[in-house]
Amino acid sequence: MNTGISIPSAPLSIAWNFTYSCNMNCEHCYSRTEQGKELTNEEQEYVTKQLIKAKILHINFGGGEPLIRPSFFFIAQLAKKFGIGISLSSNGWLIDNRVAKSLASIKVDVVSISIDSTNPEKHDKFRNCSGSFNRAIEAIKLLKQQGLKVKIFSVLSKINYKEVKELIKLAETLEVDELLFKNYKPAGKGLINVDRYDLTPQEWEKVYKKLIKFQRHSKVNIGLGAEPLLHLLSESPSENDENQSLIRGAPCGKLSLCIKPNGDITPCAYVNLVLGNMLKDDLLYIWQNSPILYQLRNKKPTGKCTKCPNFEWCQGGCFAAAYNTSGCIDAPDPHCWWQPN
Amino acid sequence: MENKLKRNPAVSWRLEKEKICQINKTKEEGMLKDLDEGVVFINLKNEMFELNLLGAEIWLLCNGERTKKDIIKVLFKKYKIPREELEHDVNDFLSKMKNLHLII
Repeated sequence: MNTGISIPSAPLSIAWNFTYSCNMNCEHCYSRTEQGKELTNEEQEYVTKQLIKAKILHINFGGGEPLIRPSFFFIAQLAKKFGIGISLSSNGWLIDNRVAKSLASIKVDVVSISIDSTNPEKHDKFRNCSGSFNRAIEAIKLLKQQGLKVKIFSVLSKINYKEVKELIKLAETLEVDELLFKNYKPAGKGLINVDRYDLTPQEWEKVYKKLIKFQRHSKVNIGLGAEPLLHLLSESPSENDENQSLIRGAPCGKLSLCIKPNGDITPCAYVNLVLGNMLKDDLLYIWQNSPILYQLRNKKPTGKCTKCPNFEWCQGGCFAAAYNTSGCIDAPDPHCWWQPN
Repeated sequence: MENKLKRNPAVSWRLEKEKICQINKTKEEGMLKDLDEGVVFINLKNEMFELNLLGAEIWLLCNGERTKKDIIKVLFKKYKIPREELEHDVNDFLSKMKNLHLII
């Protein structure tokens, strides 16, 4: 096995934002501000066939809340039939026993349920949805009863970065397969509320250091995602690369792409740089020829990155966060805590 | 009796044929720098793995019809490298792949 940095002939995975609709209105949501004409059921089927043709290995269905569209089950089943791995990111509200059984019967590989805080009131307030914490916990239990692999998604923000220990305890109690701490993204409502909820670079450093320690001792598997800034905390710069990632820097546009509910193709879910549309354009042509993807794959250090010895490994961090806050893809990740002497 | 090795049916995977051609061309030109590039990508429950050329070759041989001994025999015939070295590499590779549940 190796850790090469070559780009595959087609994306390995697709983040498919299946719908704009959501029954919640979270303060950090990257997609709540987006709107457009969603793909019809027939168009979704066409898109799925294109993904099968391109030999995509995995689709993660996100949103909005993907379970709001009943077509999810047909589309997931179709993809699965052709050997594509399937995962679902949900807030859990719509998962009752019947839905959990349906997800198990399709053999969905992983279901991720969002939990923002162990304090139900705090979680519900952040999601602007009363009762959402209890429904999420109930969903996790139902999914586990069906033998599904379940993850808890927790976006790190001002409301929870001091309670990671409690979140880990909750994950251990629920015996989930993984607790994945995600990085706050300044996108959509997350950008509007950035000053209120995003951490400072120093807070990011501190919380990641803490989580790396917890990773060693916790009973639950703690994931930190494909976070390029973690290279800054490795004892040797290549350590993270060898253990966690197939590629240097963020995987977006190098291993994966995003499809929006209207069929637009973007490098990732957190940025509105439209590369084309699944109904009009050829996915593989875009993958191989998009000037935006070329730029992402050949990032040039700017600002403090020009002096940073880690640039080779982190590639400037998350380009979406950089682009959304500065307008420049090559700008340093605003979460980066490294400073030149 | 030794187990026949097969790829976990729960994985989705892709062979990068074009990349193999490029690597072979590079090899012919006497440049070895691309030999470690990923030519097989494997997905298991949204975790991605990649295999280099030799790893890919073993992966393809794990088709449910061959034992470890059979695989070593095929590779020994093809590469003519010291048997001990080859056995060590194959053992190492297969044990990693089994630990990751990619091969069963």
